[in-house]
Amino acid sequence: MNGVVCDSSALISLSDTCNIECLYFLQHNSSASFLIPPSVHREIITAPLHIPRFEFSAVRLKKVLDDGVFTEVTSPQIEQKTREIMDAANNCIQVDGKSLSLLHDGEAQCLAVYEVAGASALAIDEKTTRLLIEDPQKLLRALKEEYAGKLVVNEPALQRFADKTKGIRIIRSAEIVAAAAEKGFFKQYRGLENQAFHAALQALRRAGCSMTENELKEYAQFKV
Amino acid sequence: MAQEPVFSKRLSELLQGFKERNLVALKQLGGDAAEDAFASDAPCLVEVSIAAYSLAKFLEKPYILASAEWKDFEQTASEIISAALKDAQAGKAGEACRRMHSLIQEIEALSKRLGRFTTGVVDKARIKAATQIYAHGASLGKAAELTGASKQELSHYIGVTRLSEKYQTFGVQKRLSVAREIFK
Repeated sequence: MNGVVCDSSALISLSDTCNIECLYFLQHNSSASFLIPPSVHREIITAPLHIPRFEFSAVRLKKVLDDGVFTEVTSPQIEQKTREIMDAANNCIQVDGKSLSLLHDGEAQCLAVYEVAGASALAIDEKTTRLLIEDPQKLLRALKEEYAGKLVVNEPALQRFADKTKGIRIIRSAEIVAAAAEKGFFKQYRGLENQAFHAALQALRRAGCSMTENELKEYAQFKV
Repeated sequence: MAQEPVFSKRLSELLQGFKERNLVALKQLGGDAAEDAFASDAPCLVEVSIAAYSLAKFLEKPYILASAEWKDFEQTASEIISAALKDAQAGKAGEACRRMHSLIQEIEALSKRLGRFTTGVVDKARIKAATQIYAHGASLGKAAELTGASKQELSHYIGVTRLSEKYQTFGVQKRLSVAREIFK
């Protein structure tokens, strides 16, 4: 079983663009299982369930959880590992002598659950966690432009974070939809299968999936 | 707690910008104060950012300035900012922060009574502040937490900006090959 830890950013994109059915489809048509940490449960269900304008989104995602499509992972190890990850990530960069708190508990818990559950991939649409794991130098270059002359990198903390997240593989909501598309998810659109897939990618991007124009062009070559 | 010299400086700019009805300065302050808030992990500076952006939105609406309620609001807002500035200068950042929180409530109330906004002006200001913080390195969760913005609305707002253009790491083929392996 390939565990995919889902951050709230990816689930929000999938749900808000009516692509959450991809998770049901992939659960039935692959060996993957979808996992969430308690913080993501709080963010996508518990908290918005009491806010009228987000209530329906929360109800939809609660149904996905109740249907057993994703599973909440709880373990006493999560809290300690989350603290260690946040301690490393949030001390990597200093501006004017103060550390920038880059990550939130929700994203850090996803990384902790990845390790605890021995997951195979992290599904996340937001850019900071992805950059810190895949290409921290790129994030640093971007931030050096924003904080000209004021930014100092704490190399030991950055290395600590790299050690804790080594081997984590990242996908986004776009890749979840693309994998489902390859397996025939959009066949229900009959002659519009390919158009539906590319329109879904556009919708995901507008819903917050961090994807560049170049990546959309790459996806444009991709026919289903 | 906010770094006091920065907090005082930003409050002073807020007071001046509001008194002079300087939309450009207030909008600039909205962004700068959000950036400071992230750099110093100081939610009080987020309140300054939200107030600056919201007040600028009010000032660009003639129907709000012409309303019967504007004069009272303008006076109340100026008094609150002045008092917050004095508190901040006296080292009472907590008190200044509470005053700014009450200003946000006043702004929210006026926005509900008079505004023809599709999204409440304060909610929109939270999204603007959060976007600025996200652009300065914070994760989506951190930006939402610090500003009180909804993660969902923030995602949608960021999705229509060009912010993601700077942050490509792997190409589609590489990422898709991971997905194919996971979902085989």
